[in-house]
Amino acid sequence: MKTIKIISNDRKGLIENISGDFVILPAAPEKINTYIYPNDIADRTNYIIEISPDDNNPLNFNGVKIALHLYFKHLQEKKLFFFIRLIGFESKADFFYDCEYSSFLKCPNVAYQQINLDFKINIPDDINLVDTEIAIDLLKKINIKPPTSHKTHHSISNEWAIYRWSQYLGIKTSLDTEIEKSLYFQYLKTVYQISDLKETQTFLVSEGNLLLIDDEEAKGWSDFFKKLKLPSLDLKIDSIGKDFKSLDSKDDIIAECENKIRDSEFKPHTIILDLRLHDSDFEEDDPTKLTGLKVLEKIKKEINPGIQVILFTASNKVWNYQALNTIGFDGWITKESPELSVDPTFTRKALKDLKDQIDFCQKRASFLINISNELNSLKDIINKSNLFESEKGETRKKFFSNFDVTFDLLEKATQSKDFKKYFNYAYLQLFLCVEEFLKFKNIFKYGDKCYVNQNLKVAEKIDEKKWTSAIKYIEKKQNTPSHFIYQNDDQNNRLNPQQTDFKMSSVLIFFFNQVNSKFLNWPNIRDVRNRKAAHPEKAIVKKDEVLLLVNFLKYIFNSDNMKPSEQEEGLKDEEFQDS
Amino acid sequence: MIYLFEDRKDRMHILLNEKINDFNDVLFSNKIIDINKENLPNFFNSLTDLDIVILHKSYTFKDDNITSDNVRDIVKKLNKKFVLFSGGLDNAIIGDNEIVLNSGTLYKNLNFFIQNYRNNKEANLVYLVFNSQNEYLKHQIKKLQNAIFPNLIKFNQENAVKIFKQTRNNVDNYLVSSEFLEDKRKLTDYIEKKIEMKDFNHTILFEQIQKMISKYENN
Repeated sequence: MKTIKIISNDRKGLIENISGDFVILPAAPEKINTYIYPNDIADRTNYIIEISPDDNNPLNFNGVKIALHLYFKHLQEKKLFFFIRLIGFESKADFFYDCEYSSFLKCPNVAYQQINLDFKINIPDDINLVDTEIAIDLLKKINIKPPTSHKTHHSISNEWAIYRWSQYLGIKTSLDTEIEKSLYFQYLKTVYQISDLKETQTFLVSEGNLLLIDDEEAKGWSDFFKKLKLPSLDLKIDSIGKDFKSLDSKDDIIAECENKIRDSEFKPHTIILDLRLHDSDFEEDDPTKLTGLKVLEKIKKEINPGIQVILFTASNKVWNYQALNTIGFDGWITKESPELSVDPTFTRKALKDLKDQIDFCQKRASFLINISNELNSLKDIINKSNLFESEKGETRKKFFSNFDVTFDLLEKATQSKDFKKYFNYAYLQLFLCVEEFLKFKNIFKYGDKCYVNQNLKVAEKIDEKKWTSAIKYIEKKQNTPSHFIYQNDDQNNRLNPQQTDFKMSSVLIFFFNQVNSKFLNWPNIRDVRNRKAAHPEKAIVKKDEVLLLVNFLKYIFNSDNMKPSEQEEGLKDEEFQDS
Repeated sequence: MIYLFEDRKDRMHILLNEKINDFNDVLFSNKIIDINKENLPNFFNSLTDLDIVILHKSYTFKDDNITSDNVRDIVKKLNKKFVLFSGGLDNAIIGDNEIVLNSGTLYKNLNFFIQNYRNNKEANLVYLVFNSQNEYLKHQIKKLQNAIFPNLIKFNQENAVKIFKQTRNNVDNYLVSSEFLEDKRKLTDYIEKKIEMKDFNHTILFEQIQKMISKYENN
């Protein structure tokens, strides 16, 4: 059995006659404050510790804090044969009254002895085993204080989450030494031990690019996420934030985030975003002023709403959620703060949730980012296109709003299997643009005589049931879907020029100078509209089919593609003038 | 005049219950250190009414090269008192004309400290650490215990004079508050008498001191 005597130099004479090793505490008060404990502890150790080694401020009771650290370490390392004997000049009653952590004396294998003229310590020959359960119960009653500053408290929560999650997954990450050595952090490590819960199955399975934006990235989070993926996986992880403290303003931080997200080298599919990125955010009560919220707004409203954003925060306050919900985000991960660890299942649930959310977002991100880019390029085409000039000013806005609704429906469609039918709704929404386009004055004009490009007659009514047309319908044959070709069709009693297919086919042949209406897969697009999109109970539209329709729209809305035929003509008409 | 350099005004107002304006006669909190490092000594030199600087440890200086240690050194050179505070600190460190303490403790005790500063025209920084006179008295007693008891335990007839004299000096030095005046006089008279008579009973002296201490403990 070993004895360690932890005492100030001035008072070491008091226990010189007791055999054992001395740990002489430094005289400078600031050094006593930073003194924690010997790195290695051994089982079967007796400690004698002076409670007030700081002569300048004996009421600090630094010795008691050193003793608590040792107690924690023994419990954590399960070296349970040890005894702590505190010594001081005050009576036991005074000690209870003056020291805020005096309830420590109630813990097993802790005692206090007053130093007086008869002072003598008897070290027993044996030490009883400390009952961990009883010890932890009593430690919880000591009420070890968390730090008072919001920012430090936030940092402790942050470090606690990294520590806890890394431990659980059995991975090693670096922690902030100053915080790790704080009494409160060690207290948490002791009372919420998780060594029995270790699990190694929670690893990311998704691929793509993942970006972490967190001012604490360098304090373990970057390491954590990099180790959360399987080495074989094609998932690239990058992070920014460690230099945010050196940036003056919130705007500088937002600009740095924007540059990184738009960076052509690393285009993130999913962003894990901390809400508090600037020092002032830690004192901020209004969620709309948080720097992270401004970054979220920038991503969703300006950069690309398809980029998935998972909010990553130490706060689970409801006000945060409400304010952010109006902008839109795709996931929410609460860093495990000490309060949450009270629930022994929290870590397991939180990590599963974290993995599921990242995998889910990564899976849908590529499609949503791509579709958002495509819809934006459609808007650009429309802005430049002459084809919309003949229409009212609101027409462009109407189309844009249609695209926005389409995106929202697709976002919903990718949320879960239950919402798959929203792919069909999105397709129908987008197809409305085809129908609206065919109503443009200079595109197609319906009547007893139908015209493309204002003066090219493509169909004429013969009687109540019969039409003559400049294009001919070809029924589906084997692998070729039904379509129209450039060929006169006289007195056809099955033709209906009011149908979208006829109109679009005429436009493709005469407006865009195609030999038939198979151009850009129009027959497929038409069939998906009629046979799938309109019947969600029977079939679900595929992502590729949505992209095919977008591609089609990009072509027909672009006035540069307009090549009215010079050689091919519509129906001959002596009375050519439009009536 | 006390100069408080705090850039987290929200925290200040919350912890002080919006009472900062009650201290306007002795405390100035609106001054900002917005100069370059080379002008830092001039900045503090120009504060002719300066008695105490209270500085937030993570204060955001306009010039990144300035540290709280730079400010401390300048203030100490001017023979003024220096207080550094931070939310992340646990224990208060009491030094010579300077104190390092937790923000919560500072704001909790600022009123008590300022009252003493106003009344006695003297800045006793220890009042920033303790929030009542009683706690301050206790602080003096603990310091006295730490200083004299180890000696008394080592007492023998050879070192008797030395230990009695040391004890008398310690009582004199450590018990500085006026509340101790009467007890201090009685105790030092008693020790003087014993030295004069060469009657050294350290057990009785120990008991006498314990008796006095218990009067102030847990009042």
